[in-house]
Amino acid sequence: MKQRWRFLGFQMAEPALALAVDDAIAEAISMGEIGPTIRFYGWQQPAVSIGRYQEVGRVVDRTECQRRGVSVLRRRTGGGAVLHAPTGEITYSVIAPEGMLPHDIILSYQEICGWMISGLRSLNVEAAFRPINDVVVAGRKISGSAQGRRQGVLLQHGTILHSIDDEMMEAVLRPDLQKLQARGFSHLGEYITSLEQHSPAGRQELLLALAEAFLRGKEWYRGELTQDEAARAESISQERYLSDAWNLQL
Amino acid sequence: MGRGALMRASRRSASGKEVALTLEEKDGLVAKAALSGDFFAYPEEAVASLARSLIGIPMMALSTEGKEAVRASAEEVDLLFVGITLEDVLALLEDAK
Repeated sequence: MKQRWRFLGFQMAEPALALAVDDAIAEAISMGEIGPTIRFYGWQQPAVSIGRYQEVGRVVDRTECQRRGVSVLRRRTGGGAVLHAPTGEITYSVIAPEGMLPHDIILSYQEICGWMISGLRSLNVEAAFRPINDVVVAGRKISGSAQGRRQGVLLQHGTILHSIDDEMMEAVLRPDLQKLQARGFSHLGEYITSLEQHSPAGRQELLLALAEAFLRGKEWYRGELTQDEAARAESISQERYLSDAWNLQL
Repeated sequence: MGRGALMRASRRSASGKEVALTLEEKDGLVAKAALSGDFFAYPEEAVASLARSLIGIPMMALSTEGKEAVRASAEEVDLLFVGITLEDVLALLEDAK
């Protein structure tokens, strides 16, 4: 299947809207209104996104989040809790008809993470795919992704860390220490790495490298959200990601 | 009527993901059930219905009727877990007894 990709250039977004835009795009693709889309974005305020099936109280310190003004949102995709800091990361989304990417879940993670690895390599950083959904540099996680599939559409989003706010991350997340220890790490700051620990490249340089790598070999055009997508995203943001019933309850 | 007793069992899968089963018991039966963790599942909504399939089952029968209900619920929608397996979930029913 050959389709032209729409590329949505980097924008900062409110946390709830950041996630809602992904869902709105996926809906538009499922209805045949728009083609496959690659999107890069950042978070206007710090937020923690938790995996669809996670118990919020077990993975996030909500009191600390409230004290620091960090919102907590439940993604529609599975996986673990992630702190999104406004200046420390680039978030990407790849949203496409399922037929454009491998049917096998792990292979599809590998393909999309491969674009990211290629972008990091262009900055002279050797990264590797670690199944199921991570990219690592020297054994430490620099990127995590999560993939959902519904109505024939694959949605994979994830973060690539440029820098880490260790103090905030340790304060708001309740990491699974057993998981860290099983991998030979004593705390979250050891387990996670970021680009600035391996390269002098700035965040803008990282963004350009990623965009170039994600679009390589594809027919693409620079596009915008349609009016319908933007309106639907506002609505999803209110109904889902600003709703305690969605964010806090399993 | 007060809230029933809560039970929680969890385990780590071979690929490092966590899965937990939380059950609320009332009068010897499962009154509420939730499956949680950092795994992936497709279709995504099927996890909630799989947990709901345990409601009404005697706590004493989790390893028999409970497993049958979970298997049937998973088969009905061709549920695919990524990061955990159906066997991990079934093992939680043994742990939660």
